[in-house]
Parts: sequence; structure tokens; C-alpha cells
Amino acid sequence: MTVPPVPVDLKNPVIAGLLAFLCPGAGHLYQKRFFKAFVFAACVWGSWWTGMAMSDWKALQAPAKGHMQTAVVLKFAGQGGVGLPSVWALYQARRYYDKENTALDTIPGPQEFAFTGQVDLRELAGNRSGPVTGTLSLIPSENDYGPAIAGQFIGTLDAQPVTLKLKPNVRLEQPVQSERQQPVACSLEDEQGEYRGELRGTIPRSVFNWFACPLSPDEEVEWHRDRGKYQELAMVFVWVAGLMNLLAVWDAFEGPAYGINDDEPVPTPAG
Amino acid sequence: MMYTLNLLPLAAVVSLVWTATRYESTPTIMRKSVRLFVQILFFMALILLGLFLLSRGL
Repeated sequence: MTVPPVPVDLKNPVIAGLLAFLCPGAGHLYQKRFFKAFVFAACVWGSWWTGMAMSDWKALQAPAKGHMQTAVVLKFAGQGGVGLPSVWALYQARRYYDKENTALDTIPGPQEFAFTGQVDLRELAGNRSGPVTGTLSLIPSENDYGPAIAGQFIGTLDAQPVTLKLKPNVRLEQPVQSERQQPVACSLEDEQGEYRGELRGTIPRSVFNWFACPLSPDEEVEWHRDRGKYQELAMVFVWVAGLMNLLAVWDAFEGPAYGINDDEPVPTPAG
Repeated sequence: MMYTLNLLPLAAVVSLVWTATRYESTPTIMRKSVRLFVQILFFMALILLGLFLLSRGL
């Protein structure tokens, strides 16, 4: 089949195709095809962001080595056309399934987090419990079993200021997970080191640790229940975005399929 | 009904991107994509009508 040369300056088609794959619109911008750059950027990113927002930012999930379930692979095949987020999702899946992505027993240095949760205090004056908000300051420490995390909480309980000392048994749940809040639990002690109660709650998880993370089966069920039919619609938007960008990549690489306009004949197989 | 209305932007972006990968001239892209958009809506409406007729009395 012979295709007539397309009178469009494609510059370096490989670079243009790669740019178009990584960032929809960028390849055509590089080729100075401004209208198409705008169309592809607006349509592909528009669909992609709409789907992601509709899915509570959980639609993008990639498979990883050893976790190649057919459904996940097929879903990702549709989404994979939007390059940068997809590459990130592949990297995120590797991090998520890494054997070191477990509950943390220690931290590299002092850290502070905004904290919301629940406290149960055992005190001589009587037990107290209720919601707390404040700042959790964590420091590396040691307990009988080795490296641990200790620290203190400064915040409010029932609108009253409260300072709580954490025993060196703070448990931070796995850092890489799709939930935007990271669960924390620990015991409390008084100045003499006597048991004082329990503190449970969450700290914000960095966007780099939750965005495009695979979901566990329980999280998947919860996600479907939470979003209902909009979960499916969100997936369609993200798939359509990915598939549309494949067309855009091809256009950046080889130019328009039929030519400049409809006056030109459609390429036909040579006789 | 609001759920179904998502068809409109989806059909619009698909028409625009498909046509933009076929042609280079902006007026041609716009004209052809409007036509494709109308065609998609027409055939979807036809399918909806068929399903409606098939499900009548159920």
C-alpha cells in the first residue's frame, strides 16, 4: 500500500510521538500544530481528569510483576495511552507490592503530622475518651524489641488542650496505599512511664504515596459501594482518554490519516 | 437522566479527536466532527429506541 506524502512538517516523528504519549498535546505543540495540540490536550486530559475525579482519584491502577490479574491488565491496557500518569501507576504498583511496604516500626528522624482520631484515657480521676485533633510529633526510639517510634500528641480533647506522651510502640500503617489517610495507633504513658490509655487515628498520607495505587480486594469493594454506577462511568472516561491518546500519538508520528482536508483522495492500495 | 447526559461530552471528545487524527485543516476537522457527533447521537438514539420497544410491557 502506498500512502501519498503528507505535507505536514512532523519534525522528528519519534520525539513527537513520545511527547504526545507522555503528555497529550505536547507532541503536537512540539510540531507547532497548535490547533491539534489544543484539541488533544483538552479532550484527552479533560476526559482523563473527569474520570479520575469521578472515581475519587482511584481509577488508575496498574499491574505489577507477580500481580498480573487479567482484569487489572485489561483495565490498564485501556488507560495506558495517557503516558505520564500510567508510567507513574506502574512505578506505584511496584512500590505498593514491595515487601518493604509494611507497617512501620521506626522512622528515620523526627516528624510532625496533623492528627485526628480518638483517645481512651485511663486516669485516677476517671476514664475519659473522645475525639482528638492536633499535632502528632514522632521521634525514633527503642523498646524491648528493638527500634520503635515514640513521641507526643499536642491538641484538644473536648475543646480542652491536652498533651499526651506516646509509648515507644507507635504503629504507622503501610506508607503506600490508596487511602489518603494513614492509620496510626499507639499506647499512652504518663511521666512515670505508667500506662495511660490508647490513641488511634489517622495522619495525612503524601499524594506520592496514594495516587495511582492499586486497591486491595476490600478497598475495591468499598470503592464500588461508595461510587456506585459512577465508578463504571469514571472507568469509561479514563479508558476513552487512554484510547484517544493512542490515536493522537499516531497522528503525531505519522500525520493525519486522510490528508489535509476532505478534498484529497483517501489513500488506496496501489493497483 | 443526569447519568446519561455524560454521553454528550464523551461523544463530543471522541468525534473531535477521531476527526482531528484524520485531517489537518481546522475547518474540515470542525465540520466533520460536528457531523460525526450528530451521527453518534443519532445511532445511540436509535439503539435506545430499539431497547425501549423491546422492553415495552416487561
